[in-house]
Amino acid sequence: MLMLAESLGCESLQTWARSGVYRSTGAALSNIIERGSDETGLSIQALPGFVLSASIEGGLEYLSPDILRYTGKLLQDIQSDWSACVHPDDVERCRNLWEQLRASAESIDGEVRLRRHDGSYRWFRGVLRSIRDGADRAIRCCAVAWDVEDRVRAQQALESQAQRLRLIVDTIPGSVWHVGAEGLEFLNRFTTEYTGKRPDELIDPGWQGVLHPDDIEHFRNSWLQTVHQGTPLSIEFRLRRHDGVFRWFRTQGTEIRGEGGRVTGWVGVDIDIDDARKLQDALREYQRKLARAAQLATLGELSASIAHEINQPLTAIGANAQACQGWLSKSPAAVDKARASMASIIQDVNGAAVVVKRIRALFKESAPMKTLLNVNGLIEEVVAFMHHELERRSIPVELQLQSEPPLTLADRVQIQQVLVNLLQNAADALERSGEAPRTLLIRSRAEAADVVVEVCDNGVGFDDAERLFDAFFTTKEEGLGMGLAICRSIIETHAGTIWAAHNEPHGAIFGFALPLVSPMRPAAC
Amino acid sequence: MDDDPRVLQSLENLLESSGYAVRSYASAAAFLEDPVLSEVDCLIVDVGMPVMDGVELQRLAALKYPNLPVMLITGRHELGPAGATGANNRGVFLKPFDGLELVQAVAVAIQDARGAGRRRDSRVSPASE
Repeated sequence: MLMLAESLGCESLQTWARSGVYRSTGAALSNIIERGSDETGLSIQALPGFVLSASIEGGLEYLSPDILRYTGKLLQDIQSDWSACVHPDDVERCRNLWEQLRASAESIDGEVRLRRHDGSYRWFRGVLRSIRDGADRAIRCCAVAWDVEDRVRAQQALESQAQRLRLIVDTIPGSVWHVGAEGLEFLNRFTTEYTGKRPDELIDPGWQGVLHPDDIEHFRNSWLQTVHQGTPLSIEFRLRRHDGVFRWFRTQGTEIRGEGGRVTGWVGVDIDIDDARKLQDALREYQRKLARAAQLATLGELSASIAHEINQPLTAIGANAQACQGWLSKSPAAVDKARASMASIIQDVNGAAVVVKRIRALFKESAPMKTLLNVNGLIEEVVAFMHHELERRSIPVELQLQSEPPLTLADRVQIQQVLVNLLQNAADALERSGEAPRTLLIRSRAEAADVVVEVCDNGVGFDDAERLFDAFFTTKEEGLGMGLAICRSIIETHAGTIWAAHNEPHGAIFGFALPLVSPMRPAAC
Repeated sequence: MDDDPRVLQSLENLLESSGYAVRSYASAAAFLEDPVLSEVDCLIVDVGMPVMDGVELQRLAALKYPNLPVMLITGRHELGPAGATGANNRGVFLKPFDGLELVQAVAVAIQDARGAGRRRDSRVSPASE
C-alpha cells in the first residue's frame, strides 16, 4: 500500500499508509480503487468528517481517518467492539437504525453520541445508505456523519429556557392568555386550574360560559373596542370558579405585534381582585355611612338652630299678643298699652324677617361662575367620573349625544352637580327595580333656543310628579330629599327649566334645558 | 331673665297686663346684683343664657330662697326634662309658649307660696334670659 501511495505521489496517502491502520481500510479502498476510481479514493479520504462503509452484516470495512483520529482507536479495535465508541444510552438506537437499514430502508438518518479519545461524548448526525444488488438486496452500507454537538447544545439550552419560561408563566398567580388569528391560542395553568376547564373548552364562545352573565355585554363591548381601535383592554368582570363561585378579576390586555409591526394578536393577564374589591366595597360603604351620618348630624343641628332662631321672635309675638288681649280686657281698656303691644308685635315680625333673610343668605348657592360649556364634554366627564361606581353596580351607560356639541353658558361645577345627582338617582332606581336588562341613557341635543339633556332609565319610576323637586321630598329610605331641590335651584338660577316624565314602558326621564349658545350669536346672559 | 331683648320686652308687657310689677334683667348676673331679690315673688328664667344659664340660677335660688317659685322657658326643647327636677321649679315652658298658660301658672305659684305664709308683696320678677 505504501508503494501504491508513493507511486501515486500522494502525501496524505503516504502518511495514512505509514500510520499502519491501512490494512482493512486498504482493502475497501483497494476495492474502490480497483473499480478504477483513483480520484474517488483520494476524494473519500479527503472528505472532512466521518465516512464509513460496512458489509450488510455489520462488519466495518472502512473508517475514515477522522473517525480514527477522533476515537483514538485502531480499526481492529472498533471492528471488534464498535459499541465502545458509542454512548451507552445510544447503543440501542444504533442497532435499531442498522436493522431498519438492513430490512428495507434505503436511507436512514439519526443522531448519536460518539466517544472521543479523551472519554467525552459529542453529538453526531449521520446518514446511512444501503447499496443494493440487482435483486434489491442490501449488500453494503455506507454512512456519513458530522459533528452537531454545538447545535444540539444550543437546542437544549433553548428548550431548557423555554421550559423555564413555561414554568414561570404557569406559576404566575393569574390567568395569562394569548389570542391570535385563530382565536384563543394560549392559556396558562392558572386559568385551567381555576375554571376547571381545558383550553379547548374555553375557546370562544366557550369563554362566555365562565363569565358572569351580567358582565358579558360589557366584556364583549370592551373587547371589540380593543380589537378595532387598539385601545388597551382594562376591565373588571366576574369569572366562574370550578366550584361555581364567581370572583372578580381585573384584566389588562394589549396588542402583540409581529414582523413589520403588524398586530398579530393580543396578550393579557387577569388578576383575582375579589378580596380587594370586597374590602374596597366595604370601605366605601362605611365611608358613605359616615358621610351620611355627618351630614344628618349637621342637618339636625342646622334644623335645631333655625328653629331656635325663628322661635325667639314667635315667642315675643305670642307674649305681646296675649298682653294686648289682657290690656283690652281691662275696664276701661288700656288702649294705649294695647296699641303699644301691637307696635311691638310688628317689630317682632320684622325681627323674624331679618332672621329668615339671614338663614337664606347662609344657604344661598354661591353666585354661579359662568363659562362657555361643551355640554357633551361635560356629560362624558361626569360619566367617566362615575364609571367605576356604575360598573360596580353593573349599570351600563349609553350616550346619545348630538354630534355637533351644543354649547351653553353655565357654571361648570354646578351643572356637573346636577348631572351627578340625576345619574345617581337613575342608578338607585335601576337597582331597586331589579329588572334586567338595565338601561341608562343620556341624551343631548339642541332644540330651538335650548340645550336639552335627558337622563333616561327603566327603573322603578315615580308616582308624584308634583312634589318630586320639593325640598325634603324623598321616596328613598335613606334619602334626604335635597338632591332634586338643589338641582332645580341650580337650573333655575341659570334661567333653565328642569322636569321629570315617565319612561315607556316604565322608568323615568329627567331632563333639563339650558339656554343654547350659538358660536355665531352672542349668549344672552 | 332672658338675653333676647325682644322676648324680655314681650314678657314684661304680658305680665304687666296681668297686673304684676315686673323687673327684667338681661343676665343672671345683673339680677343677682340687684338687692331686690329678697322681695321677689316669682322668677321666670330663660334656660339658654350665656355665662350662667337658667338651670344654674334655679339651683342657686333654691339654696337661698327654697320657697321662691321659678319658671323656666327655653327654645331648645331637648333641655326640658332637666330643668323640671328642681324642687322650686313650677314649670318648664317651651318657646313659643302659650302666654295665658304662663300667666296662670304664675298666679298659682304665687298663691301657693303665699299659702306657705311667706310673702305679702305681689311682686313678680321675670328673669330675662
